Amino acid sequence: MVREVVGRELKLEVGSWKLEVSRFRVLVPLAVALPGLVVALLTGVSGVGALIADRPLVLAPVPRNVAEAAGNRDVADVVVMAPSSDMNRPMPARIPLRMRNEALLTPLEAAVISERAYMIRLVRDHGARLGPDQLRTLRCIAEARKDRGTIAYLAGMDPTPPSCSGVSIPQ
Amino acid sequence: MKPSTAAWLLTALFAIAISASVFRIPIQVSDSAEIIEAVDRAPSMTAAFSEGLYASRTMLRPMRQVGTKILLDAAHRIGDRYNLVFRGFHAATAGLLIVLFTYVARPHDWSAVAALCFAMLVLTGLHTFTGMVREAYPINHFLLIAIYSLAVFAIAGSRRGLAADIAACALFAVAALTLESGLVVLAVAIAAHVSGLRGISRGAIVAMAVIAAGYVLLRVPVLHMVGNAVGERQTGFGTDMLTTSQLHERFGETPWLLYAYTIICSVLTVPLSQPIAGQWTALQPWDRLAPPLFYLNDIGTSLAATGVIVWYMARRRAPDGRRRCLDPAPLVMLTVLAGSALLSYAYAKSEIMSAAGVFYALVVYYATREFIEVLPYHAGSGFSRTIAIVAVLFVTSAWGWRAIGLQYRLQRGAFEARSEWVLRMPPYSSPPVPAADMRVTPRLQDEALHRGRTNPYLLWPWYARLWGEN
Repeated sequence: MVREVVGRELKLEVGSWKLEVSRFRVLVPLAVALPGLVVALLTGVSGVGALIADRPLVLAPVPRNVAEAAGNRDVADVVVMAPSSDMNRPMPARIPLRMRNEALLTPLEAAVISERAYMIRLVRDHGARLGPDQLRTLRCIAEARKDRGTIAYLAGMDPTPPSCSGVSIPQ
Repeated sequence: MKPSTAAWLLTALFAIAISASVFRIPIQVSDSAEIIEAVDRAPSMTAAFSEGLYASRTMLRPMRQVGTKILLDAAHRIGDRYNLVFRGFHAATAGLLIVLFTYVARPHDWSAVAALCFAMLVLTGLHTFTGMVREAYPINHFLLIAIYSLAVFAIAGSRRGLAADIAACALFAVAALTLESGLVVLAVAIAAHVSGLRGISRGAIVAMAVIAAGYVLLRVPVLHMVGNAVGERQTGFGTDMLTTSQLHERFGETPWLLYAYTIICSVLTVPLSQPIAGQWTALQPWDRLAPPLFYLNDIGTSLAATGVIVWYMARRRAPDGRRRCLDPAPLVMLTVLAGSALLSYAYAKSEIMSAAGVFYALVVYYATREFIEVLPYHAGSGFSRTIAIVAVLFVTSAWGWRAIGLQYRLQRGAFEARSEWVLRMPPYSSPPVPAADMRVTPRLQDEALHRGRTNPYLLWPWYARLWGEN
């Protein structure tokens, strides 16, 4: 009796792994086709969005403001957005490559966080003012990030070592 | 719904996806603005053609100038809308390649449609495809060569006739004068004929050989052109990318060594996804903080697809017992692979192997179609059938990831091309052409800056490690 029950249970368990041949014939082409179908639908629909509105639905985020553009090395968007933006006002910016969280940054601060010296020059060329206080803040941010390119670029404007006490560094 | 209707719907989706992303990439500063300005100064098509004849000592590509001139004239006629015409042309040709692929594959049953779904992932996910759609010079001639090759293969499989012969000869002539790699179009026609396709007559193949002889005559005795030599362009060797001076230093006395290495690496890059441009990038020391994980997926998926191809090519056809490797698509793939590798003897470049990559995907289609038919007869127990399904889904999903990676790289391409219009222009760099010669460039810059906005740095940073940046 016990053997019969155990035997039946084992059989049932093995039976749950069984894949009928007829079902297998259907599942093989489905397994081959499914990822292709998903990719076709996802990217195809996204492509329609791109053609109609110049906005793909996937993998094409855009900066919300000029600080976010500066922080994410987007020189083209800085040039395009600068004429209609206040280049000295702090704005909420996401910089996933450099910061975990969104922070309130001026375009110049974001440019330093991008760790690209050309971005600092570009932002200044497009209207950002750089007084002694702002320069000190930028130099402290660059020092905190230990980025040699931006440190050297900013030191070119003021070679004296910066005093960073009381300067808040965006993380 | 009929299987063929489903196949064409699928093709349309893939074509739209690729074309739309290609269209968003602005005309580039590098390799494009200078050529556009030079061709714009040519007074006529004939002048552009003859300018192309004498543009280089190693490259005979006058059809590149002619194509650029045709597109420039079209752009001028509609109010100097350069991006619309040049990028529209690139997007349309990218879509055409995908449509031609399905036309050649001719999927008529559901197994074939399933195989096409997978083959499209291989076609667009393979690294050799990226070069055809990401860059433009300003016309991507590697993409054109792949289209000409596929078109000649389609003609070879069509009904024989004078129109087919004329079309094949014309496509070969245009391909040869577009890019040196265009010579593989003749190899496609010959291999297709040898494998039994009779759409192109023997007379037409002789005519194509005569055109090839004329091409050689034009290159050597008439224009005194020479082939590429060691150190004309950087290329990979082992795990290093060697500069031109390093190449001179290491291979100046033994160029054959570099040539043999480069040819072998070019053959390997299509079925293995390594090396890239002669460089075994996957074997370089990995950055622990930012490991380039995409290598694992690229090599693993390529090994799986190549495994299916090897299995298929070793099989025999039922009616006459001939090995599958002598069938039209496999034989043409092997020929294009070998021909393209030979043409890239002096330096390796993924783009040169792009036509071979297209035929590789085509053979994957035929192999997968047969695999779907055969597998149910060989997957023994219920458990092994379950394992087989999981394995198939795993491999196809990994290829799906690679195919989506193309979209990521295209968006990245759009971002970089757009950024170039600031960073490679005054006051940040010297302009691509002297300011006095700029007729088109300011308008190109304006168009580039005001379209195709995207920023890959706003995405999850790990995408770059999972898909690669280029």
